Amino acid sequence: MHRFIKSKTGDVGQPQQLSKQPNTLKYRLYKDLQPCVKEGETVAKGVPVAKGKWQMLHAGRGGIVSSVTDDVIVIDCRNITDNASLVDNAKLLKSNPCDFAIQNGFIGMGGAGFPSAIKWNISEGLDTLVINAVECEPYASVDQSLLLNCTQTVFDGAKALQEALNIKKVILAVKKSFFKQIRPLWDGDIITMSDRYPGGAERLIVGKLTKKPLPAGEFPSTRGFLVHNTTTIYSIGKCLKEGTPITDRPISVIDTEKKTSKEWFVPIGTVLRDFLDIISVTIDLDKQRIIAGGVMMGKEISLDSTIDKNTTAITIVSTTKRILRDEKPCTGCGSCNDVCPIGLHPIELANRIRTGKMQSKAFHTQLNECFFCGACSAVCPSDIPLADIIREERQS
Amino acid sequence: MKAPFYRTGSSTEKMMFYVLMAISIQATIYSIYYHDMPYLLTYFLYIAFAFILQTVYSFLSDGKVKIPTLSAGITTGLLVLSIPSKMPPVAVLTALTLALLFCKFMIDKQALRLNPMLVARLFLMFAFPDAIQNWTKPGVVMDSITTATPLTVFKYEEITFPLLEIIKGTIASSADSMYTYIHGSPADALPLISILIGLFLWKSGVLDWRCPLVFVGTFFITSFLLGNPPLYSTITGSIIFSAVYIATDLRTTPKSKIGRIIAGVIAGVINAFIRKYTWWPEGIVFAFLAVNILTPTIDRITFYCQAKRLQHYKAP
Repeated sequence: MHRFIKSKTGDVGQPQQLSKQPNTLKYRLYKDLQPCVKEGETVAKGVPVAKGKWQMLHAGRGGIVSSVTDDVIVIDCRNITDNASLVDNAKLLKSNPCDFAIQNGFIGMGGAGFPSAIKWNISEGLDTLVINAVECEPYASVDQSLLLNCTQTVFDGAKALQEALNIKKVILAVKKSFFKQIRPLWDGDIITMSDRYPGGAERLIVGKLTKKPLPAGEFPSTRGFLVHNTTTIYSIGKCLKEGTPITDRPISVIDTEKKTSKEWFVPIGTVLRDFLDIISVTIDLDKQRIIAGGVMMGKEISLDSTIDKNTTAITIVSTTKRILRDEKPCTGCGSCNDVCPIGLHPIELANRIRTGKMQSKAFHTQLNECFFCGACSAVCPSDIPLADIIREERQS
Repeated sequence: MKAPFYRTGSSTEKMMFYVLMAISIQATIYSIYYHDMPYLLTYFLYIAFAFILQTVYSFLSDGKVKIPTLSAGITTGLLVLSIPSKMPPVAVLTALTLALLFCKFMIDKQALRLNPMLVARLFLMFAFPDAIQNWTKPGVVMDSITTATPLTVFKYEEITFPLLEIIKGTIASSADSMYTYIHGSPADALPLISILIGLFLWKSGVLDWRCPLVFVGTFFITSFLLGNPPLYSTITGSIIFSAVYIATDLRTTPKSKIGRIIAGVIAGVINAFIRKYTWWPEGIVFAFLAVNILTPTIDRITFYCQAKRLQHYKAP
């Protein structure tokens, strides 16, 4: 037993383009997105297909809209060459950053999916931009791959955003083990985070920068920080260079059994089945499962799901061995407290939830501080689903 | 299936297996080093008895025959390592049965847990006070040679032995060639082996370093302040052994990092005071039983303090 989770990275390769584009794109409408196209309509590349108050979805390829429902838009791709009219993005970003974020569909692409426009809307008091490239999920490597291979685009994006929002300083947050590789490429400030999961949590980075933990319910912006994932910053750079909204994103495909990961540029809305076909990965559904996101915080998905704007990785895990084991009584080893990044007592919380002793103020403080990184469940030698128990109680 | 889809480290069974193996290795090394093979035989017989007892208990209480967990074996192994090898079997079996039944099997879900090994030893100390002081020279078949331990000699005569001899486990007589001084329990002999095994267990992630290290450190400092020779006190009287195996007991020490440090401090201070000011030459049993009793309280206080600390950073 080791009482920590090492966020190891495999070989960081270059993100590759798909050899063949998918024939259908399926857009899942989340949050307040409303479709703005009709069935049978012909759309060009880059035309918005759904709009919300703070974000938009754009067609990744030209084609015919084959079906529109409340939560899914399907586009049958054809060879339509005309693009949507190009907007002068650089000018828009300077004059109205919020509008730029909405028009080009920027959301947090590191997994949270929080609309960037809301973050940028707080015009005053932001003085530091943090590029989060920590990627603490074991095996994930897409951010590091972007920093090494598309360095210029990422830094252009950061510079443009810095100018637009009048931010004084840009800090790059990386893992300790990645510091040597990135030092020659980046001449600004670098903050190194722990190699242990969850080192890349926004709250921990801001807490380390201000030397005061960031409590639950408080956003980094209250301390003047704007934290963005590398993929988001990269997308800004790309958007300014090419003038097109976000229609594709880099993701890593992780095989936990072989412990390898590979990076691909994938159009948003690609159905997983098509994607795995194109990159020729076969899956045995009896023994393996597909996870959207990393192994620690991901969600199990089916082959018919799509790749969303905030899908950072596709992980293939095998269901043998320990993951399926039943819960055993607690031995009181305290691993969960050892591994908790903010020093909570997960087993104590779980015990109190199960026995119904939930009146005390201390209990509620600890319950509200948890951000469900799942580290306690992963190290528990008795396989108690601590994070699940706490999450259920929080949601009820 | 729910996240996380990743597990690291070993399972409970594997941890218990490692500890049981470590104890057994220690017993084996002892019996080979001092040519005391009958000791090893009784050691394994007692462990077999503990497993049988657990099976019988689970059959009587649940009506099912279950595979016994290894924790009863760990308790037995620790007890057998901490008593004289010529202890009457009836006494050991009685102590084991009582401790395992009342401090392990029957109070499975209680918050307050006493380490059953300590309870068994406490029972032996009060019920068989002669036999438990009856330290004999290992490997001698005769019943007549009863010797004193270095700690008893120090306690009543203030004579210390060279440290090297204690570490090597070959204490020669210093006063009279008729008597040979030996280490107290098998656990007491060869402290270097205990340290090595402890380091291995820590490296393989079975043990937490906080409680043992803080315990030994506090004991060392408190002994020094009270005027006992600190290094001599630390390597005699099972301090190292109990730091490795008793201070790291999962159930009976606090669950949090800070809690374990507090427990180590309490145990170290109490132990040093007992050695200096009471009749008992060693005080492991009392020091750690005190920690065991305080454990639920420490857990609750650390839980409360952590919440308080987190609340403190909240913007008003």
